[in-house]
This record gives sequence, C-alpha cells and structure tokens, in this order.
Amino acid sequence: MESFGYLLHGFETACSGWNLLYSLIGVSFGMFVGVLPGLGPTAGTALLLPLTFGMQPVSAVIMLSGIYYGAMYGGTITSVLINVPGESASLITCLDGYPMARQGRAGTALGVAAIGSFIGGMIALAILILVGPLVASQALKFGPPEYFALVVVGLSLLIGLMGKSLVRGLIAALFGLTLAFVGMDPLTGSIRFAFGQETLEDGIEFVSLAMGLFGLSEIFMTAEENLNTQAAEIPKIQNMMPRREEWGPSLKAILRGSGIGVLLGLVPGTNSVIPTILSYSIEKKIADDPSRFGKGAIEGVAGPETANNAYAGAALIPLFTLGIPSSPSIAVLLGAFIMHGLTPGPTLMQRNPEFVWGVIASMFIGNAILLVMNLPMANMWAQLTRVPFKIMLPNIMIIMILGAYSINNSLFDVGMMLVFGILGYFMKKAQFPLGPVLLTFVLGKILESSLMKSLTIFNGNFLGFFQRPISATLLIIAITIIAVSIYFGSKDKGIEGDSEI
Amino acid sequence: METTAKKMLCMLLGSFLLGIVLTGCGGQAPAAKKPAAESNYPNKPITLIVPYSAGGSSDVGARLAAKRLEKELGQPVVVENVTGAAGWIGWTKMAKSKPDGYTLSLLNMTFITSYLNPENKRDMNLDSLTLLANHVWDVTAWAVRPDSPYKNIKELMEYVKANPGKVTVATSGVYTQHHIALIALEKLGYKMRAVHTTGVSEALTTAMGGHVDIVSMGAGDIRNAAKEGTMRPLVVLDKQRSKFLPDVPTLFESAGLDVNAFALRGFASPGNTDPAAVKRLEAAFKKILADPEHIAEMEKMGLEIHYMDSKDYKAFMKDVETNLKKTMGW
Repeated sequence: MESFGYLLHGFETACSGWNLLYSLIGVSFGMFVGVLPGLGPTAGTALLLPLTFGMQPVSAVIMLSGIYYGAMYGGTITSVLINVPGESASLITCLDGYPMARQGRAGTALGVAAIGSFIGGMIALAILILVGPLVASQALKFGPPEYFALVVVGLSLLIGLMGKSLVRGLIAALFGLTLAFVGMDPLTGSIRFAFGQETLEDGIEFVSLAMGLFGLSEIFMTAEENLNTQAAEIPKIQNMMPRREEWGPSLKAILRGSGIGVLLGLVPGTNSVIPTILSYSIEKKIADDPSRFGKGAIEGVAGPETANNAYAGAALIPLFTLGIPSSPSIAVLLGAFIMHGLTPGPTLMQRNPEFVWGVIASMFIGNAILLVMNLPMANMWAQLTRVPFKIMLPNIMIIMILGAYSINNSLFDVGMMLVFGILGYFMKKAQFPLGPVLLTFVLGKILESSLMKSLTIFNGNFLGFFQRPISATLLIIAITIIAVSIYFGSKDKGIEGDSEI
Repeated sequence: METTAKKMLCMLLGSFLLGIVLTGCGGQAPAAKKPAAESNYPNKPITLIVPYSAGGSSDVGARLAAKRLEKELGQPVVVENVTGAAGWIGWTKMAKSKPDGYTLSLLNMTFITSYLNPENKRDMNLDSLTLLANHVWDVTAWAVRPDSPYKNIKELMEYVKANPGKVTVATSGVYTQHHIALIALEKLGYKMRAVHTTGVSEALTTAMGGHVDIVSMGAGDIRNAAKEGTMRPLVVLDKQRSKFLPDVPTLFESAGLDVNAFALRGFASPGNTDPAAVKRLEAAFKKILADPEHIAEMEKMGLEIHYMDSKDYKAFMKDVETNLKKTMGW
C-alpha cells in the first residue's frame, strides 16, 4: 500500500510547524461560519482565501479546507437549537433536530450529528485515499473531450441546485455562464465584454464574485432582517449520547448517509444540500414507522448530517484528480489552488504528493478536533448565536474588503465585489438561487475551453465526442438525465399544477 | 455570569479575527526606512513590479534577481505583483510612475505582442519605456510521448508537409511564442493545428495523455519532463542547441527551417528615466546577472540567463517587433 507511506508523510507535514495551528484556525472558523446563520462554507472560504496569500500553499489549503468541512459540523448547532439552519446543508436537520431539542434532547441530536459527521468524514477520507490515486492514474485519459462531457453531465444535474423555481434557477445558471464569457476568448485571443476595461480582460475575478454574491449579500440580508432582534433562548445541552436502543438504527442511518454522500461527492454540479435531502427521504422511506419523522426521529438527524460530511470529503476526489469542482464551495477551493500556483489535475498527486497527502492527513486531524469541539464543547459554540450582529457584521465586512483588495492590489476588485454583493442581495430578494451562478461561472470556463480544444483536435467534427468511449458514455448519461427530468417534469406539472406561482 | 461569558466570547472572536488579518499580512516584508543621508541614487526602497501572480516561474525568477539587486544597491527592493490583462496592467502602472528609477518592472516579450495586436488598442509601445537589461532567455522546444511514431524532427516535418493540418500541437495559450512559431511554420508550408490550453502544465498533461501529438514548451520544462521519462524531446526551435537539451537537434540544423521561438524577460523602467539612475541600474544588473550563484539558481528552475545591456536589449526587442509584424501581418 503505497498510499499509506504517503499518508504517514502527510501526517508529518500536517503536524509540522504552523500547519497544526492553521488546521485549528480553519476548522474553528468553519464552525464559526457554520454556526452563524447566513454565512456558509462558500462565503467562509471565499472570505479567508485572499488572506492566505503569503502562506505556504499546503498551509493555505489545510486552513481553507478546514473551513469547508468545519462548516458542515457547525451548521447543525443552530438548526437543532433555534430551528435556523446555520448553512444550507443543515436545512434538513431542522426537521427532526429541532423537535428533538424541544423534547429536551438537544444534546442527543447534536451528539449523534457530531458522531455521524465524524464517521462520514472518515469514510470519505478512506475512499479518497483508496480511490484517489487510482483515479489520478487514469486521469490522463481525460483529455479535452472528456472534460467537456463531464462538465455537460454536471450542468445537466444543476437542476438540484435550482431551489423552488426552475425558471429562476435556469436564469441564474445562464447568468453565471454569461459572466464566464467576460475576458479573453481562449481560442482566438479576442477580448469579449471588457468594455475597454483592461482589468476585465482576464475575466471577472472569481474571489470578488464569490465574496460578493455569497458573503456580502448575506450580510445585507442579515443586517436588514436581524440587526435588532433579540438573541433566541438556547435550550440546555446535556446527555450527548443516544439511548442504547437508538444506537443500532442511528449507526445504520450513518452508514447509509456516508454512502450517499460519497457517491454524490464524485459528481460535478451538485452541492452539499442534495445528499442531505436524499438521505432524509431514504431514511423516511425505509423506516418502520415513517410518521415519527418530523417529530424528532434520530435517524432523520444522523443520516443527513453524515451525508453532508461524507459529501464534503468525497468532493475532493474530482478536485484533486481532475481539477473539476463538484460544488460552489469546492470551486472556491479550486480558486485557492490556482492562486497558490498549484494546478489540480492528473499530475497533482504525482508532482506534489507532500501537498496532497499533507492536506488529506490534516483532514483526519481536523475531523478529530471537530469531534472534540462538537461533543464536550458544544455549549460554548452554542453561545455564538448570542453575539449581536451589530458587532459581527461590520467586522466581517472589513475583512472582506481587505480580502478583495489584496488579490490583485486593485480597488476595481473591491468595487466589483460590492456590485455583486448588491446584485446578490436583490437576487436573493427575488428568490434567485445563487449556487448555480457560481458553479456555472467556473464550469462555464472549463466548458468553453474544453469544447474549443476538442473541436480543434477533432478538426471541427462534432461526432468526435461520440467516438471516444469515456466522453461518449458521459454524454449519453447527460442526455439520459435531461430526457428523464423532462419526462418527470411534464408528469409533475399535471399533479402540482401551478406551483410556479 | 451571563455577561462575562458574552464579553469573553467577543474578545475571543476579536482576537481570532485579528489573528487572521495578521496571518494574511505575514508574507509581505516591511520596507525598512533608512535615513536619506546622501542625495545619490538609490537612497530609498525600490519597487519592482511583477505583472504576473506570485509563485509562477516569472515571479520566482524576478524575485531571485530582486534579492541580489537589493544587496548590490544597498536598498530594499520590494516586489509587487500587479496582475491583469496578461501583464499590461502592471506595465501601465510602472510606465505611469515617476521616472526617478525607484519603480521598475519585469518586462516580457509579450509586451510587444500585446500592443501590436490592433484588437487590443494599447496606448504604449517600446518607446514608452526605458529598457534596462535582459534577464532570461527561455528557448522553445517540442516534445512527444515516448511511444510517439515521430522518431525525429526531419521525418515529422516531411509528414507535416505531406499532410497539412493533421498534426496537433499543444500550446500554453493563444499568441504565445509557441502559437506564433506555428503561424510562422504554416507560412512556410508546414500547417499544424494549435490546441491552446490555459498554461504550461495543462499543455503538458494534454500531450502526456496522448490527446495531442506534440507539446510546445520552454526547454527547461521539457528537460524536467524528459527527466521524469514522461516525454521525449524532439527539437529545439532555434539556431543553436539549448544548454538544457544538449542532445536535441535544432529545427534549423535538421530541417533547415529558420523559425525560432523563445520567451524574453528583462527589466524596464518608465520612459526618460533619470540617466544617473539608469546608469547605476545598468551596472548593477550587469554585475548580478553574471554572478555564478544566480546563474546556477536560475538554471535549477530551468531558466537560462542571457544578459543584454540597455542598448542591445532595446535593439533586440525592436528586431522582435519587426519579425512579429511580418509574421502576424499586424
């Protein structure tokens, strides 16, 4: 097992010098943005991304990935205690977590969520260690046509990110694609949509877009809604462990959740909400007494909470091996890689093993820290919900503006972040989902350049995509997904009637 | 009790945020202030603008030179990465600064490509700057997969001539020296298809996976890939062999084609820079670029130093401009 040798070296890297501290800072900040309603992992990673500028790449990614999976833990706390999801992946946890809290079992809900998250995270890491090198060794087979086909599959699955309205979701997705066109045409070198602005020739700065759309807009929303609201009463947290008869069903739900999370993590175009919904509906479907769900069923907390953490770990596989982001948060991590001069892709694991395995090892450590933070220290984090927004929001905004400036030492980027923040605010008001914008922005660039490269390779022959086994299979999958969703979509219309309105 | 907990938490939070800010700033060295005793240049810190992001090979090369320049001039040389528009934003910032010799920038040959291309509508050219010294000469080479049917460059070029547009070449982007060389070859009757990737590493992996026939990269990068055994060097696009690939023939010697491709990176300051400062900088560059230690550290990165003084550098860049105009029809 070559991997284990590397992993041991990875632990050496992860435990050395400041990396342990960065891991701690990362997961703490992750818990922090997770606990805070509104700020989620995407905004959290985008927020700290520019501040990692002077750091070693491995330290930077250790910290940023810590935020990402740390937020998955933190989101649970507010969902259970005050029925407000700390981040979107914990939305489902409200359904049964809050009822449990009202029955005086908040501790158990948080306990089982923490244990599930830990197990899910560990299973995903184990898969990453076993499967990652295998995928990486095959990844060179992924040429431009295969990348194109994979992104098409991702885009066909975007429907899961769309939220309530398909039309609004599609508008958001197309908006993201349009933003991806700004800048230089990768094939001809022509400048598009730059309006004579030299700064726009390289395209829209990803960090400004992500921080504006996700971070600033959320701050505006929170400021508008909650600035003066009184902090909610927090139920007491005690008895973290489930009852003896609950262990069996909980563990089974945790294992199923891990499987769902890992599988979905491999697919681009998803996000951490989808595995939680899927896990919840499966738990409900196979339960002996489905009526318990929504009234404090422990499986309804254990399954989804596990699924989102397993997803978070597994989503790193396509990032490390192919350089393709599965979800908006992973897209921010991809930005971090590029900023630090690392190219995620087939050669990353071979050329920078100390980097890859250092990050993986740090995630074992980070998950262990998070387990401690969430079991004995859960009470402390719960107090965070009491810090007044009046203090919190201006501080976050200062960091964001500093961050946006520091990417290119350019005020233009700060302005752009403000514009996208305002835009994001109005999009939220009009109930446009923001996830698709960010994801199609990133995938759109890969889509366009891989299409252009493929067509050059095929000498302009579109059928070339179907003459290569991997790209043909992927494209057929994409066509099937679209066909199936149109079929079910037209069937659903009859039942739900005018759900659009 | 309640309020103390709250206060503690706020303090904790505050110090946490402060910590993050400090961590972020840790990478930038503070510019030391020295008393301005004599009026001689240089008597205060010098800024070297690198128009690319930190960590790339251009940036590292410039930083290595900056470190030595600092020692030579006895003043801090602060490297500032001003990115955007393929370098143009950094060059604009340099050109618009005071011509007192305290603001320099790394200058890439792509500066010329950028303003020659009429689509870009640039408002500067070589005459807007003071060229100080050339630093790096990165000659282009081609490589194929070890199992490629193309055994030598002569056969390949004969095949290309007989089958125009059949062979694909991965470049690190549109209008790079790699792309322009292919345009020049096409004019001579050797048509190949350029597959423009987003950078050197993507070009390399695309070729390693067998999705294109040839990869065009700097000779230093090709040397590294050949060492790993992933690629087989085929040809150097120059009249002389590269010192990184001494066994690899040139396009001129084996196919008789006079097409060369290279990247050229040097240092420049705003137009009409104070002559005293230029003189001091020229002498400093001449000294540090001949330093065997610096030559060795650059070679390790796969970069070859090719010093040219202010006059030669300008003349050479003018030649590059003329050739580009001819090849591209701009």
